This record gives sequence, structure tokens and C-alpha cells, in this order.
Amino acid sequence: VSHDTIGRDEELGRLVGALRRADLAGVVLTGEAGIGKTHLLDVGLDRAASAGFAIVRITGSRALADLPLAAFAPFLPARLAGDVTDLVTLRTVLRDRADGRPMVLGVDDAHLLDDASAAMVHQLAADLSVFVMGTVRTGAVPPDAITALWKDRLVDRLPVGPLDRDAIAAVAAAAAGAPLDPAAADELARRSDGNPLFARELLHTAIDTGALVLRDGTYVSEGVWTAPASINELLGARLAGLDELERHAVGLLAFGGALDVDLLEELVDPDALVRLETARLIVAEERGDRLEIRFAHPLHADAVRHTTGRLVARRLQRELADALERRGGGETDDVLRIVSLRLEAGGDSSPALLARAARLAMRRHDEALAERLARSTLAATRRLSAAMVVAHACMEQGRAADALEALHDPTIDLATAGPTERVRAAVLEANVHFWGLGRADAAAAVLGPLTGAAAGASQHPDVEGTLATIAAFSGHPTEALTLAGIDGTAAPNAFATMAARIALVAAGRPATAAALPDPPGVADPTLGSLLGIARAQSLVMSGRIAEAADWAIEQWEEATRARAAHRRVGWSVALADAEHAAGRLASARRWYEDAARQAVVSGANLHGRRWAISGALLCAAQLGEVAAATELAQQLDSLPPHDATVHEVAGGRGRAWLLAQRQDVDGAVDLLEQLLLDAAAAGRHGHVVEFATDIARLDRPDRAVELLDRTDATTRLDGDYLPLMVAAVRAFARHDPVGLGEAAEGFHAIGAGLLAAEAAGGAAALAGETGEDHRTVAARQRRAVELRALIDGLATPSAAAAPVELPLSRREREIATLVAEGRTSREVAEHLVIGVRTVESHLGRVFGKLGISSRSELAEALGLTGAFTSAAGAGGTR
Amino acid sequence: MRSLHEQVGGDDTLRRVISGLYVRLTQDPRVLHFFEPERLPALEAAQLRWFRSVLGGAPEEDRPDLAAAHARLEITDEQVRAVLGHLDASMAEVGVDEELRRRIGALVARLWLARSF
Repeated sequence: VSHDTIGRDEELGRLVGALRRADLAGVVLTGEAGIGKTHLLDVGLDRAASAGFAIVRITGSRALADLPLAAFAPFLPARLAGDVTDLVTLRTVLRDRADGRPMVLGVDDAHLLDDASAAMVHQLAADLSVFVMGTVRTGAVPPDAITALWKDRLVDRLPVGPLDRDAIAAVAAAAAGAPLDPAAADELARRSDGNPLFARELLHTAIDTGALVLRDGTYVSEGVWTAPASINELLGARLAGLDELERHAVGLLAFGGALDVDLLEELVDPDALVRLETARLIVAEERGDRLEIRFAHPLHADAVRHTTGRLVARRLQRELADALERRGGGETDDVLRIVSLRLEAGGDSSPALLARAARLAMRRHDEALAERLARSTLAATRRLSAAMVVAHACMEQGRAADALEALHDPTIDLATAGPTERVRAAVLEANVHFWGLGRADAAAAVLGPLTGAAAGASQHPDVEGTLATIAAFSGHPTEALTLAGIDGTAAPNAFATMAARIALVAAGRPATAAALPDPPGVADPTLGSLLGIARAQSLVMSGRIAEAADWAIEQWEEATRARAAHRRVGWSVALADAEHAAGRLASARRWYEDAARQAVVSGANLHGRRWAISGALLCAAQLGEVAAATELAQQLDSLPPHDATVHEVAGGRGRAWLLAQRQDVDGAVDLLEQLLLDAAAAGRHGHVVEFATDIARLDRPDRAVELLDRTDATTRLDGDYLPLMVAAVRAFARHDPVGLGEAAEGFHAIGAGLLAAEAAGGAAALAGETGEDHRTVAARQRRAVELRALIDGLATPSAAAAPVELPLSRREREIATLVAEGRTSREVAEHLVIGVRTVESHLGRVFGKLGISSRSELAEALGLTGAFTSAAGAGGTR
Repeated sequence: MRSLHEQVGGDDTLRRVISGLYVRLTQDPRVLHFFEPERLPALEAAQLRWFRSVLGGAPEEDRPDLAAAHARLEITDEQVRAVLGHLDASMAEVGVDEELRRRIGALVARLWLARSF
């Protein structure tokens, strides 16, 4: 390859020299087609390899530019090829290849990379995982992630310009195997504009046509140079000289990109391939364990496409698609490739294949590609199934209105759609209305005609399931449970199960909801995830808080790894719910806010956003952060409404707590009462209990009890959590420290830290008023302090009323601590220079205040032993 | 964007990293013969200037030349890996987080291989 770097010493020096630049993560060679960028890149990569760098080289390709991660596919294990969507996995694969050496990533024709690969290249460079050496053709429009490489100053651009006359002469001499006389060299340099590829092609043409002849070991100009002025025309002329079989082979390569040698040999005469390789038009390259054939230069492919008629092109594309389809197997890239080829050919992909390709595109989170594939097919086939894929893709991109428009496209030929397909389309449309636009009535209007007797033979379980889901999320649990056909036992299908879980939680029967079995064989990860989120909420509300939190964080990590934005929003909120129930308000708020941000990023996920902001509002209000809570309430007001109100219970409670924090407790209680009565009317007994508990926590326990009794909400509650709330409210209203104390221990046992602390604080306060004995009062205070120490910052009025410290004077605490550490009264007296009797009288008061009777109980009562020793000790000396 | 020099905690952190690095190097039988005790202060000073520039805390021109500094030494791949390992441990010791250590390690390894380009 020595001739490749003729006249390029300076560029090559700068290319490899860039590796020494600490401020760069790469260098990109820019220049026109045929100027020699790729050869320069390969020489640079060879130099780097000799110095000990690990090398990975990828190539952008026009034929593959629509396929996500196509450029990295050869380096990914076949098993993973469909699933590697995240940087972490790709980085692991590359690190394994590097085997401890620093890596140079060669990116030839970076302007032709698919978007996903381009994004990966950018990230790998930005975090210094690799040093990038790339090429970009002048005038091409690279993917944004590639342009960002130099905009972000991660890489330098190194222009590769025309060669001078002497360099062209040297290139020509090397290619021809003999020098050119000065006049011929002048002519070649002038005609080729210093472009070495053009120069070589001109040279071969001139020799073939006799314009250049060899005399005494030197090529001299003899005839007329007839070569055309542009390199495309020149290549076209050269291709025109190919025979039928060879033309067929180059045609397939032009439209298929790099092709497996086995596949190509199925379609064309192997001898023709050998002739093309000899003529240096194509090259064969090892790719992993396969041999791939491609053009020697991408300009060849351009020229072939340029000179191929539309009809021939269609035939070639179909032939390739058929061959790829025949090969079958699990090559996920092939599915997308087949569909792309068929779309370009203007042909009809089977709806099944299309659905699979669109699902693959969706799974790689390329909804735009899925939409494009489906739109083209819709135009070609007018099938309802294609419109449904378009609608689904639009929904995922947060464009509900476009989704509806696709489903109502007047060109759809409904005659080709079977009854089941029409039902599915209606279900999809209802989901767009409800989830995308927040309209339960419009959704019901679509499905209404398909239910019950009206539907007859076309009835489909998804119709009832969807209606049940909408009823459940709109806050009508009784209706939802009827539609779902579930009364706590059977589980007909996934939609019905999800609807039933949501409905049962709202109705105050979360344990029944948690016990509903998962329906078998839910393949759709989004639906599976919704089922799981509904179950996590059941677990929280039935008192299995830690279990719910562990599961939610696991699932959140999984969704994050899979870059599944909608799922991530749902699991963030589920985790936040568990954290809130545990009393970790600040953490809960962070998770709600993460969900709200994600819901914006992942398109207009209106429901997810309202849900998350509602939760964040409740946390901020309970934490006493009035300004932040006010802003969150305003955010909620400024968003369009959504009929999926079941998750906005937190928002209503948040507004009430905000009023209370502004000293308007009456307003807060009135609001909660209104919300409570609405919930009771709809059979949402679980929500009734939550609202009543808040009313009690705002110091109106009598009103809370009166409302609970009036609405008869407490008769069918299940699980541990809600009955505990009711018990606490009633004990508080009765001024019953024993009942409140028991509720506190109950809350503590299920990990509901905030309510545990509040109930214990209430019990301690009541203990004094109700004339319990001194020792019991002291024990209650001690317990209140302990439970208060287990939760992070909060400012709820009832918690604020709870004692933070033991009611000891400084002197009493000092003496108690010294005794607890094992000193005798005499030793303490000497230490403090006071009398022994003074020590003992202080100690007597301490015993009384703490409700203990012996020195051996002191350490525990002061919180100086056990797991919280250091925390309590630090608090004690403050 | 903040430079690696700022992210790592500036010269203060670098001094501690380098001092920890030389403690480790002078105790490792694979490499200790490269470091004569009387030259250590000079080496540490040069090392600080090198890292400061490499991490973007000083201009490129202030960077001592890696190839020249190691020109007459015969250094095996194993020894290079040992030094990089000690560098990582020294950064970890002063609390440089894992991702930042990975980046700096990758940068140093690259500059070493490319030292004579």
C-alpha cells in the first residue's frame, strides 16, 4: 500500500500525531470522494496497531443507514445483535476486544452511519473509551452526533486536499507499474484535479483506449484522451463495459451494501465475482467469522445506482429481499433490511414481516424508523394493519393527534381487514383517546358499539379489558371490576388483571389485588410492566412496603438499561410511592421528579407527567417546602387535564397539605372532605381512608371519624396498612394513647415510618393528658423519639408536635450518661465535683422521666446501645 | 465543560496522587529500579507538570516529553500495566471516583503508546 501515502506525509503525520493530543478524543479526515481519505485512515490505523493499540473499524453505508446499529453489528455477538441498545453493553463488548489495550475506533464514511451507531461513536469518544479516527465526505450531511464531535471540540477535522502534480505522477506510476512522461503526467494531473482515484481511473481508461502507450519503459501520450469530465461518468463508462453476469453482481452490491459471500454466490455466477475482484471493482473482507463482499470504493456503488433504471433497481431489491428472507434464521438485522428493501422496491411486505420489523425498530427505540417503514407500507398496501403500526409509533413519540389521523386515513381499504383486526384497531384508537389525549368519553364511544350483544361474533376480550382499564384509571373501581369480570379470583387476561389491580387498590382491597395471579404469557414488555407497577402499588397499600421498593428499584434499573422511557417513568413513580409510604419524603420526591423529567423526555406522556408531579407536590407540601409545592401545583394546573385521575389522589392531598402549611387548616380540611366524599361516591374506599387519615393528621380526628362512619368505607378493607390507618384515626379521636401506641407499632412493623412516628408522637402527647402513670408516659415519649429518629426531615404538624429529644435537663442527661457508661454514683460525684446525694436525686428524677427503675435500663433508654448508638449519642450531646 | 484537571480536584489532588504513586512504584520490585531515590523530587515535579497539562490544567507546551523522558529505558508491557495499576490505586486512595479514574487511565495509556508519534 506504499503508493497510497504518496504526497500525504503531512496529513499522515497529523493523523497519528493527534493520538498524542491530550485535549482530543479523535480526528476526522474530510475531503471529496476519491481524494484518498480511506487509504489514509487505514494507514493510520495500521500505524496505531503497530504501536500496540487495539483497533475496531466500522463503516457507514448508504444501504444500511436506516438500520439502527448496523455499523456495529459485525462486532456484536449474533445472539445480542437485536438487543444491544445501550452504551454499557457495547462498551463491554469493545473492552473485551481491547483486552487491556487502549482502543482506536476507525469510522470510515462516518457521514453514512445510522443514527444509533453515530450516537454510540459520540458517546464512546466523549467518555474517552476510544480514540476516533474517521472519514467524512465533503458536502455530505452527517448525522447530528457526528457533527457534534467537532462542534463539541472532541475531535479535530483534518482536511485532505488535492495532490500536487508530482504526487499524481507518482501515484500513476505506481498504479501503471511504469513512469509517465512529463506531458502525460501534466495531462493526468490537470484532468484529475489532483484526485488520486480519478487519476487512477483515467489512467486505466487511457491505457485501455490506447491514449497512453508504453514506449521504452515509459508511458507516453499518443491518442486523444476521451475520458469524461466527472468521476461518476467515468465510472459509468467503465461499468458499461461489464458483461450481463457482472452487471447483475454489481447491481446487487449497489442496493444491498456489503453482502455475505454465500448469499451472493446463490444469486450470481461465482466466476463473475472473481472477474470483478481481478478488475479491482470489488473486494472480499473478513467480518467476524464471515466473508463479506463490497465495492472497492463507495463511489462505485453511487455510480451503479446512478446508472441503474428504476425497474431494474426494483427487481434487484426484490431479489435481495427474497434471498434474505429465504435464508431466514434469527438475524434480526436482516428483518429490517428485508423490509427496507421491499419498501424501496415499492413492493408489499407481508403484514407479519412488517409488524416484526416495526417491533424490532421499536425495541431499538427507533420509533421514527418504525413510523417511516409503516407509513410507506400504508401508502403501498392501504392496509389497516399498517395504519395501526403508524399509530402505535406516533403514540410512542407522544403524537396522539397524528396517531388518530393515521387510523382514520381515508385511503385505508377496510375491505382487506378482518373482524379481529378491526376490533384491535378500535382498541388502539380507544387507547390513543384515553392515554394520549386524556379523554375517557371518546375512548368509550369508540368501544361502546363493540361490547356485549351489540358486537355478536366479533367480540374480543381486549375490548372489555380496555374498557375496564379506562374505568379503573378514571376512578370507577366498581364498574371496572364488573367489566374485568374479576371478583378477586379469576384472571381472564392481562388488561383485565391490570384493571382489576388498579380498581381493587382504589376500592381499599389492595391485598386482594396483590394476590391476583399474573396472567400467563404476557410477551409485550410494556403491558407486563404496567401489570407489575399495578402490583407494586397493591403491595405498598397492603403494607408490604419494603418488598414493593426492592422490586421497583430492580425493575427501574431494568427499564433504564433497556432505554424504555415509558416503563422507566412508571417504575420511578412506583418506587416513589413506596418511599413515600416508608416516610422517606425527600427520596420519594426525587423519584417523582425523575419520573416527571423522563415523562417530558419520552414525548408527551401526559398521564405519567401528571402522576409524577402530583406525587412530588404531596412530598414537597408535607416537607413544608411551600414555594416548591406552590410551583408544582401551578405546573399541574398548567398541564392539560387527563381523565386518568386515579393517580392524582396524591395531587389533591398535596394541595390540602399546602393550604395547611400556609396556616389555612380549615381550607385544607374542607378540600380533603370534598375529595373524600367524591371518592366515597365512586366506591374508592381506599382513597376515603387516605383522605380521612390526612384530616386526622391535620388535628381534626373527630371529623375524620364522622366521615369514615358516614361513608361506611371501612367494612371491606383488606391488607395491613389501611386498617391500621383507620385504627389510628379512631384511637386519636378517642384520645386513646394505648390504641395510638399500638397503631404506631403496627405502622413500624410494616415499614410505614412517617405514620409510625406521628402515631407514637400522638400517643406520647395523649399519655400526659389522660393520666397514665409516670412510667408509661415516659416510655411513650422514649418510643416517640426513637421512631422519629428513623425518618428523614419532615414538617407535618403532627410530627412537629412529637418530641424530638428526651425531656431531660442538661445536668440530668450528663449524669445519666455517665451512669449508663457504668460509673458508680460516687465516681460520678467526684467527676462532677458534686455530692453523692445530689447525683442520686438527679438520677431518681431521670428514672421517673424515662419510666425505668434500674441503672441497667439506662443505656437503652438513652439510646446508647444497639444499632442506633452513634446517631442517638450524637443527638444526645447536642 | 470542566477540564479533567478541575474534575479531579486540581493540583492539590494531583500532588497527593503523585506522591502516593511514587510510594507504590518504589516498593514494587517490577519497576523500583527505574527510580533513583535522589532523583525522586525532580521526578515528582516533572510528573505534576505532565499530569497538569494532560488533564487540561495547563497548555500543551508545558508538557514534558514522554518519549524523551523514557528514551533510554527498556520498558516492558508488564511494567506499563504495573504503573497504570499503581496510578489507579493512588487515585482511588485520594477518593477519585471510578469513572474519572477510568477516563484518566485510558488517556494516560493512549499517550504512552502514542509517545513517539
